[in-house]
Amino acid sequence: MTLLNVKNLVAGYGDLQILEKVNIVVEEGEYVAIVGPNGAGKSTVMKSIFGLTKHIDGKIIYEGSDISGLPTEEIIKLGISYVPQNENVFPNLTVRENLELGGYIMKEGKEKRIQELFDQFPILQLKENNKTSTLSGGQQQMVAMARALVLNPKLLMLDEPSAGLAPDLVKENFEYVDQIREGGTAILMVEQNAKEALSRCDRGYVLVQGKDRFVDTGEALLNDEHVKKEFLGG
Amino acid sequence: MSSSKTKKKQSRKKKSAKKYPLKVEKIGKKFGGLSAVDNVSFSIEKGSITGLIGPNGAGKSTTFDLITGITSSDTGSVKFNGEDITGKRPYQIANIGLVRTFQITRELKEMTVMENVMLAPKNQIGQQLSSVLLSRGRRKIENQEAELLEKAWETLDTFHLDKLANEYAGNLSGGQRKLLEMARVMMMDPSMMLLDEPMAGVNPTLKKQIITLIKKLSKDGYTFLLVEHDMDVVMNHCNPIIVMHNGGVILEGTASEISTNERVIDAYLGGSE
Repeated sequence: MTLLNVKNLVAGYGDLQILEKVNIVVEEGEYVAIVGPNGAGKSTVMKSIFGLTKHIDGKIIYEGSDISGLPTEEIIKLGISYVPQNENVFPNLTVRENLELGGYIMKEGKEKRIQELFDQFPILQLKENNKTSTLSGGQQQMVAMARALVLNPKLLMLDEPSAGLAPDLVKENFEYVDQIREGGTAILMVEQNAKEALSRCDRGYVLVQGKDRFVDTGEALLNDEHVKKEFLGG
Repeated sequence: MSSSKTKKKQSRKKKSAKKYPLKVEKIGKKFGGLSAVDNVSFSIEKGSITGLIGPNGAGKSTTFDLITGITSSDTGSVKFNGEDITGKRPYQIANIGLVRTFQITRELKEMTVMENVMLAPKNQIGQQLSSVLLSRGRRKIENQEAELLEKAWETLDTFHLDKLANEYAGNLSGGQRKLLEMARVMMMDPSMMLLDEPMAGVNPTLKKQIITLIKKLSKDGYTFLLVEHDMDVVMNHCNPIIVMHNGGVILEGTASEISTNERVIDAYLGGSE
């Protein structure tokens, strides 16, 4: 079943229009990657879904209803979580406090959910009382993902989860995403590590100048001569 | 020591400073009780593209901070073109041709992209009061501005930012900010550039073009030291490669030496692929 259907989305910031008619579909439990040049609007797609941009036109249908124009605090209640590219943890708070904030709107079961996440990311339990800023880059990225997962979202949006990570951690991070997806959460990911993202996702979109130019399975995009040359560095 | 001997020694020293513009000797820095950088030494050869790699938290960015005077070192010294720059301010170091970029970009958000790059070059005549007041000075300013503007357009074109010249820097995407940061450094025309993760968040095709540019500049004698996690870039284009771990240098070598070294594989590269 279709979880998210972005239709002819036009959005931007202030007077600046970034997206011109973007169409993106995410099925339930699907892993979708968005790749493309810098400034194509990839992050803006995610921010728009999360209610952080100026909505100009088009629809964002989530579980059958249009959520475009809704404020972020309403959107998150519907089961959509988002991990931004930068500044995605509270560096001066402990790991546990970060996760508690991730579950701020939960009325019950927060402790149990945090424990589940500690079981999934054991290193975070070891560091639960450490200030997040003292963790390594890879571990901070893990905190950010875990924080977004506290609410048990149906859709997790990740903006360049592998940027700035050492090679062994890049692989580990992608493996965590696979693991999250196996738990039934749909993934919408923006990545410049396009080869890795496309080889793992179900479907990929190539976004260029605010429009979705190509869509296909990750594998087909990886083998498309034009896409390879223009967007994957040959 | 006789004076001729001293002279000889000095000229040899100069020669080596010519071949190795940057010499880092036993620098160290502690934050609280923690050694972020511990007894780090290396020399960077002129015209090289040297890679600095290592796990997150190994001390790579702090090393950049110590070299460029952002943070003062507790121990050791840094020499650039034979001159001791330990303890100098970042702007003084930039003025003699050693400039860096930051992992977290520092553009001036409320200025346009063009204004950001036009601010970068040093020694702009218009900064002197006398030349602003005298008509001859004003002509000079205009000539210099025209030259800089041409260079600015070329630079923006190289980094695919030309169409965004009049956009506020604060409206750029994360990747574009990275590119603007590099464009600003290029506009300063330094003889050596320290680039902190220049390729993170940059599209693969553009990445290739930036590497081509860096290689061309290195052939012209510009020197590069880059912190980078993109192994494609490091292994194919950096030589030598310096590996840091837990605040210290554990190895310096070629790509093939690095990629087969057990310690590096364990600490950084991860299992075989």
